[in-house]
Amino acid sequence: METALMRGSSLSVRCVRRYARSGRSSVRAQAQATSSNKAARDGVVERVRSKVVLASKTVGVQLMLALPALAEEAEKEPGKLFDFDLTLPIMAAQFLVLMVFLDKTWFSPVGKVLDDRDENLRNILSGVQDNSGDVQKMEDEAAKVVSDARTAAANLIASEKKAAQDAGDEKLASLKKKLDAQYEAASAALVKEEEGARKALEPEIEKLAKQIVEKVA
Amino acid sequence: MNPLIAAASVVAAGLAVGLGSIGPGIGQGTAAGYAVEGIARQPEAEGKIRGALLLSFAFMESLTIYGLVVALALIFANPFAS
Amino acid sequence: MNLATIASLSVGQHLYWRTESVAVHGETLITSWFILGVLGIVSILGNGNLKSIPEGLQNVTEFALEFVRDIAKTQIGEEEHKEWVPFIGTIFLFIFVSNWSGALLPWRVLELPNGELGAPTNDINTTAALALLTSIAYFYAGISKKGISYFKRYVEPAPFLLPINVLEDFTKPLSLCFRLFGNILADELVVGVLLLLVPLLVPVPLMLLGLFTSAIQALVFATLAGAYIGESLEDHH
Repeated sequence: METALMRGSSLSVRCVRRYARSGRSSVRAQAQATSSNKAARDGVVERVRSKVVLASKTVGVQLMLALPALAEEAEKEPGKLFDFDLTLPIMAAQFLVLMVFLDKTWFSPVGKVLDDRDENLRNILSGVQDNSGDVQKMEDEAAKVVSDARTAAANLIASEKKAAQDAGDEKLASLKKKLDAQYEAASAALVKEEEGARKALEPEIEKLAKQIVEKVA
Repeated sequence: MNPLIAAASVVAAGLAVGLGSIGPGIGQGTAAGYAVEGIARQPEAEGKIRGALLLSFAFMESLTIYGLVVALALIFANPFAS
Repeated sequence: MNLATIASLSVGQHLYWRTESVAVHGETLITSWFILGVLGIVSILGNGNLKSIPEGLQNVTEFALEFVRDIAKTQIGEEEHKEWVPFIGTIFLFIFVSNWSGALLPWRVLELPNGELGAPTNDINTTAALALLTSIAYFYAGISKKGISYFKRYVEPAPFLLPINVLEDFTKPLSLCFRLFGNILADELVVGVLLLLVPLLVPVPLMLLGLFTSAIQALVFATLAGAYIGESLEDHH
C-alpha cells in the first residue's frame, strides 16, 4: 500500500536525483569549458550549491507535507521487534571505536592520576612512619646523654668530696699529733716541776715536822 | 490476521507475563526478607547487603522480562501475522 | 487521529535507511551518535587538564573510573583486571548514558517519518551487539591466557556436564541481550502507555523507577561481563 509519505518521499528522491544529475552534468560542462579559470570555478561551485539548497528545500517541503498523512494510517506493516540487520555490526564497530577513544582520553590519563596520587600518599605515609622511629632514637640518645652527665657529675662530686675529706683528715691528724706532742711535753714538764717542787719541799716538810714534834714533846 | 491466531496470541501473551512473574516474585520476596533480617542482625553491614540485594533483584527481574519480551513479540511482532 | 494510531506507539517500527541491498535502523544510529557525542565531549572537557587535586568535571570522571575499577577488580581479581577496565568501563558508560538519555531527554519532540527516537538500547541490534562483544571478549580472554587448554573447562568439574557448559555459552549472551533489551523496551512502553492514559503526574513515579532500574541494568551488564571474563581467566575450580 503506497502511503502519502512514500509517494512524497519517492517524489522528493526523484527531484533530488534530477537536480543532482543536472547539477553534475552542468558542472562537468563548465569544467571542460573553462579548465583553469578560478572565477569560472567559483561560479560553478556557486551553481552547485544553489542547486543543492533547492533540492534540500524540496525534500523538506515534501516531508512536511507527508507528515500529516501519517495520521490517516490505521494499519502499518507489522513491525518487527526482532529485526536484525546491518545495524548490529555498525553498533559493534561504533562501540569498539568508543572503547579505544575512551581508553585514550579517559581511562588511561585519569587512571594515571589516581595511581600517582596513591603512590604519593603511600610515600608520605611511610615517610611519616620513618620519622617517628628517628624521633624515638633521638629521644633515647638524649636520655642516655642526660644520664651519663648525671653519673659523671655524681662521680665528680664524690671524688672531690673524698679528696677534701682526706685532706681534712690529714690536717686533723697532724694537728692532733702536734697537740699530743705539746701535751706530752707539757705534762712531762709538769711532772718534773712537781718532782722539783716536792724535792724542794721535802726538807721544809721535814723541818716543819721536827718543829711540830719539838713543840708537842 | 487469522482470528484464531490473534486470539491464541493474545491469550498466550497474557499467560506469558502472568506465569512468568510468579517465580521471580517469590524469589525476590524471599531475598528481600533475608536481606532485611541480615540488616537487622548487623546494621553496619547495610551497604554491602543492599548492594548484593539490588544486584540479585536485577537478575531475578530478568526472568520476568523474558516473559514480557515474548508477550511483546506476540502482540506487536507476531511472526504468524499474514 | 484515531486511538488505534496513537496506541500503536511504535513498537517495532523503525526508520529504515536503505541502500540497494541493506537497511539499517536510522533512529538507533541517530541516538547512538548522540550518545557517542556526549561521552566524547564529557571525556575531553573533563580530562583535558588533569590536576593532582581534582576540581570540577575531573571529580566526576575520577569517580566514574574508580567505580568501574572497583567492578572490574571485584569480578576479575586483583592481578588481571587492569587491562579489562576499558572494556567494562565503556560498556557501563555506554549503557548508562543511553538508558538515561532515553528516559530523561524529550526525544519524541523530534518527529520521524517512521518510528520514534529513543534510547539506542531499546533496539535488539544494540543489545545483541553488546552481548556478542562480551561473548567474544571472554573467549578472547580465556584463549589468550590459556591457549587451547581453555577448552578443558567444558569438561570441568565432570564430563557429563559438557552439553550444559556448551549451552551456557549460548545462553550467556542471549540472557545479557534480552535482559537489557526487555528492561529498556518495557520501561519505554510502560511510560508511553501511561502517558496515553493519564499524561500528568501519574507517570512520574514510574519514570523514576525506570531511571533506577535502567541504571541498575547498566551496572548488571557490566558486572556480568566482568564475571564472565573473570570466570574464563581463573585458573581452576
